[in-house]
Amino acid sequence: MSIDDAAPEELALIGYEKLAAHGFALPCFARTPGANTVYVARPSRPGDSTAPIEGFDIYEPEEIQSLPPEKRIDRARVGDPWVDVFLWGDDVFAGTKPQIWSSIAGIRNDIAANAPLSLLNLAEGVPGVATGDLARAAFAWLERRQSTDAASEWRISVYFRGIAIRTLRRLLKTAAYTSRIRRALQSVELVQNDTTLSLRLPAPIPETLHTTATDFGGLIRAAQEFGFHLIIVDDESATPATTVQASHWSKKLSRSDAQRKSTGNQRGSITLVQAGYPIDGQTYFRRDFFKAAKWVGEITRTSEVRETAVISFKVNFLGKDLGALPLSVTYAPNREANQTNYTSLLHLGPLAPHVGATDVTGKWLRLDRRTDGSYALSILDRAAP
Amino acid sequence: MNAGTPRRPRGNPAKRELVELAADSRPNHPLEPPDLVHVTSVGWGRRIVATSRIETRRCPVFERDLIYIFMARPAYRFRDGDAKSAQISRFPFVFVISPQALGDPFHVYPFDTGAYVADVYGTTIDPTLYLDDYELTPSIEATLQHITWAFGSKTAYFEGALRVDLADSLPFWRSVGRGWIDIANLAATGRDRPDARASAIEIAYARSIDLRQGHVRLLVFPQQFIEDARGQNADFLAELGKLGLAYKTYDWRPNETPDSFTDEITRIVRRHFDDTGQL
Repeated sequence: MSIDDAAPEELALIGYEKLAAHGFALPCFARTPGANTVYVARPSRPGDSTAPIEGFDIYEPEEIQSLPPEKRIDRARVGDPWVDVFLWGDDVFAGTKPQIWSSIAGIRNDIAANAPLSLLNLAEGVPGVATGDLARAAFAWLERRQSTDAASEWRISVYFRGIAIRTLRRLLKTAAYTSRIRRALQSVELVQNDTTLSLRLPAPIPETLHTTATDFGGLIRAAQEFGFHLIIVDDESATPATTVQASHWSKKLSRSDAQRKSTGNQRGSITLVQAGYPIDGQTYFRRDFFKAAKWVGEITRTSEVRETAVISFKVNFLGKDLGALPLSVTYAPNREANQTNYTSLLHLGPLAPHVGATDVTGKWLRLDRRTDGSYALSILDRAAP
Repeated sequence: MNAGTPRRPRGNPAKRELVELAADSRPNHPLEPPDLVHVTSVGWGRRIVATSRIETRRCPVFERDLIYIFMARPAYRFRDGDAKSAQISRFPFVFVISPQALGDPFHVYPFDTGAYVADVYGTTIDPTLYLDDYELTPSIEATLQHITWAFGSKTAYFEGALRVDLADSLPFWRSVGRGWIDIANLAATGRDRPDARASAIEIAYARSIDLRQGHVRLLVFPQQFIEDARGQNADFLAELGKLGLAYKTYDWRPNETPDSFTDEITRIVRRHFDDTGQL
């Protein structure tokens, strides 16, 4: 092998191959302008605008367009941020997406009016840009130019699904490129039902990933911009639950849980934590105990990625049967990062008046999951056997 | 056949064993042929729309002017076929075509002959066989018989899943059948990198296809083409409207890989088949 045959680590961006007369083109690299061998960059995570260059592959261009000398990028190395070529009118813009975004500042309105889909693609790679506004503008543009059906189809099948697939690839890492998972990714679907957007994950994705809606912060945000709530449906939970195992969990209630903190606002909820059980308290309630519930993803006002499930509990409060009460359980993995040591909360909701009237500090909370999939909640004077 | 392809000696007729094997396969209920899929590059795709015709092009393998189409599968023909594979895989443009009024094909093979000739199937090829030993009867009905015999259903064919008992059902002397199964297994989904071309039914027509005659059911191309940056796509969009062609778009990104485009296009075409009840 000669030196020239070795996979290059560093090349110059010297030209591009056009897809269309505007928008993104395929960046072409070579050792020097005019060199015979042309390369294209290989992304470390295909489609992910934050992924760096992983390597360069030889490419046989059909009609390569040379970049003007002042637009060339002399050094693009493996590990560097991805560089793009963006066309508009007679202009060519080359660089990272944030660099291109900055370069087109003066013509952004023109692009938005004529090519809002390309502008949205560009903006998705620029930190801090409100892509929700651009996505809504793209939807409205398609609605005007084509039809509401066409715009809705784009929103679900191209925009939302694209975000979902890129997120899944990032979470799955190298497994995303195996034959089985590639086939499964083709079957990933988003189904809109009123204001609920269901992300359906076929086998074997759920068992490979153990994902929850909170892993899809970008998709939750994008969906929320259009007024949708996101839920994740995997093949396991889509099928009737025939093997629900009975389970229970309990904890001694603290002053905070009893809404009797001496300072600050009362939280209105009870933390669901390990409490001495052989479980991972950070994930157990979302991924096991309440797994089968309908979890809805959302972005909170404080930008927290959170899932909420409203669960019907048969409630017994210190010996008094309160019947079935709908109580919310929320799961937010970033609570753990905030060093609060819990991710799941049981919100008191309709139970709040009872907890307000009776101090339950030092009492016991017990949650039961029954084999029929129903739940029970008991507040007890002492630990249950 | 061109000089690179082994030539059959005179007096040594093709075996056509796959035709015999499939001849006895009769589906429980008659199969309707699924649509055909022609994948080309966006450059050619736009030219085809502009001229309203998929023109035949010189095939270096068979030394004829032909159009290559695969039954149901959005596989693209290897580079010894009609276009550069780099352009097709990086910039795919898809035509989904009804076979109903196209007439009889020029030839039908149970794999991509361009890949065969280019030695893409490598050591799986039985060196004692010639390319035309694998040829099927040039008719759409024969392709359905082959699907029934080899895959059992159109869905299994689309997914590249051979009948599990197929190899065991063949006596050892059925060398063409066994040789073809070896090749077709390269498309099996359990492989690390299944090559859909290895069992995609290649149908070649020796006549152009006129887009104005209602043969085309669906186009799939990058979403950039539906934007009209200063009117540059206006002619293309107007032509689509004039021809009444339905289309779907995919999100072309320069930092995607050919595999990603293949997967996305396969999904869109599969959905077309599901929506129209063809599989």
